[in-house]
Amino acid sequence: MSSDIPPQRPSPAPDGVSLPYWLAARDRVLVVQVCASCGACQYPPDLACHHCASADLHYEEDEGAGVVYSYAIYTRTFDAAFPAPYVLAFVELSHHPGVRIMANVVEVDASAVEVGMDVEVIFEPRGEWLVPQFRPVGVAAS
Amino acid sequence: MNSASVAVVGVGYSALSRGDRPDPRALTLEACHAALSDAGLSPDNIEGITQYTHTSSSTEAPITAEVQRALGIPNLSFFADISQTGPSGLGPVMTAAMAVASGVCDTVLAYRTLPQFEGTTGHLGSSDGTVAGASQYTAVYGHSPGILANYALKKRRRMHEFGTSADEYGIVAINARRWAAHNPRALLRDPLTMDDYRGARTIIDPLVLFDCDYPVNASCALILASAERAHDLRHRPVFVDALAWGSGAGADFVFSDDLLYGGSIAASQRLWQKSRFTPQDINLLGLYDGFTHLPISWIEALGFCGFGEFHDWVDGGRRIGPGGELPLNTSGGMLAEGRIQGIGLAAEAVLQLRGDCGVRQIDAPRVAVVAGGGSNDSGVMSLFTE
Repeated sequence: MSSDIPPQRPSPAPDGVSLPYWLAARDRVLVVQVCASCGACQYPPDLACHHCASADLHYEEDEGAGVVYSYAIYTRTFDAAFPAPYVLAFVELSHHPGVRIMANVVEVDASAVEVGMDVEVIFEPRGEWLVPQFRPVGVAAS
Repeated sequence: MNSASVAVVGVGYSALSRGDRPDPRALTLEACHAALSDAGLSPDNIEGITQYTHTSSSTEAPITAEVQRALGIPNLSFFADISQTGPSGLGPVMTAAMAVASGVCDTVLAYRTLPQFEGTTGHLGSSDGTVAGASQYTAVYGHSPGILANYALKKRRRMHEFGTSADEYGIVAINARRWAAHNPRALLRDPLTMDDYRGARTIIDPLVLFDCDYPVNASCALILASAERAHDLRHRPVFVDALAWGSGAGADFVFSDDLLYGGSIAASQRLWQKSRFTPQDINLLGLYDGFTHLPISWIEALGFCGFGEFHDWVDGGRRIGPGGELPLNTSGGMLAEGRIQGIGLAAEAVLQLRGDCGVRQIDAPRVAVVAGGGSNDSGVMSLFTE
């Protein structure tokens, strides 16, 4: 049913708002959009602050530490570019509380993932970009 | 809407089917003519038409202008094709109620048509190339089919946050079949046991097959009219008590601030502020059940029990089942009657309040609450008879 070459995973098409986010990711830095007026942070990035409507937004570096807020395990393949099993998660950033990023939890058996698990950002090549992903803390040492 | 100024005066369904491909326009006209016949009205009595659809393709659901033409209505004074956001099939009903209450028109035909193959099935394919807009934050992670992943994520989070098990979701799925057994229109009428639920095929873990509604070919139509007009028509009027929408903060179908309840809490609070009733007065619930998560979150948002307390409150399903004190989705809902998306739950509530539900008729209900959506697309309304 499938050819020998698996279809490519999609890569992001940055726009005026998201370009700094993806450029930072390409430098292996996770950034979060923060409002200069009220200090609120938000994800995904947007044209204006979701709390005070200010358009004075900037990006600040995040240390890349997070906690699994929720996760789902794909046990069957819906899309040949994403063969099962894989884990789709919301990761809440430890240094930007309330900011939940969608990502895959990688470098771990799906059955070992838990809500509340400490994870850290890594970057996965995707076309000409790098996509933030998360792995359990401590994997790097093994 | 302090005095009841609007009533539902007619209800109509198309045939419900699976596996065939009926023309959605024909389904819609079947439902609309049935509603007109039920109300004792003719097409030239209709002054407004509303509908809801996910898509902009009129091959999946006809737009209001097509229905106007096919009903031979020379001129409409109100029309609204609602898409993308809104409490699904309840949206056109709620919008119709506002149109009548405002005096824009005196009668509105509201419908929802949904073919079996519309939606998440058949849209899986491989993705390649680039993804722009909102998808750049989701599709790059294999968030597909997105709505199934969303409800898997909500289910996991709920179980973690409240320490509850998946069995409470099973209770909702079983309840749908218990009621559907008494509904000749329902397509899934076989009983479901907790063992069946626990053994169900995983869709995206922890979401299982019986957490998901049952796609069918269907159309359903309601006719709303001014209370004054309603008193002259065939059936006992079912009055609109109150309406409320709720988006919640950070409104988004994926990233809303409140993953578990979306805008349903805000909508529920507004409903009780506007309603002449309290939760203790409610005899019947028709809560959107595209996924089992939703009736649970609506029941808690509406305050029938505390957050995370559904499992204890529902008493193994007795409270919401046949003979229970607060029947839920007596048609079998979208889980078992078929995916009529919200408007079917409103139609069922109207039929129950009129006393027209045959063997599944509950004992003299007076007040019902019907809800649609439940994420950033929440809407809820209350209906009553005098």
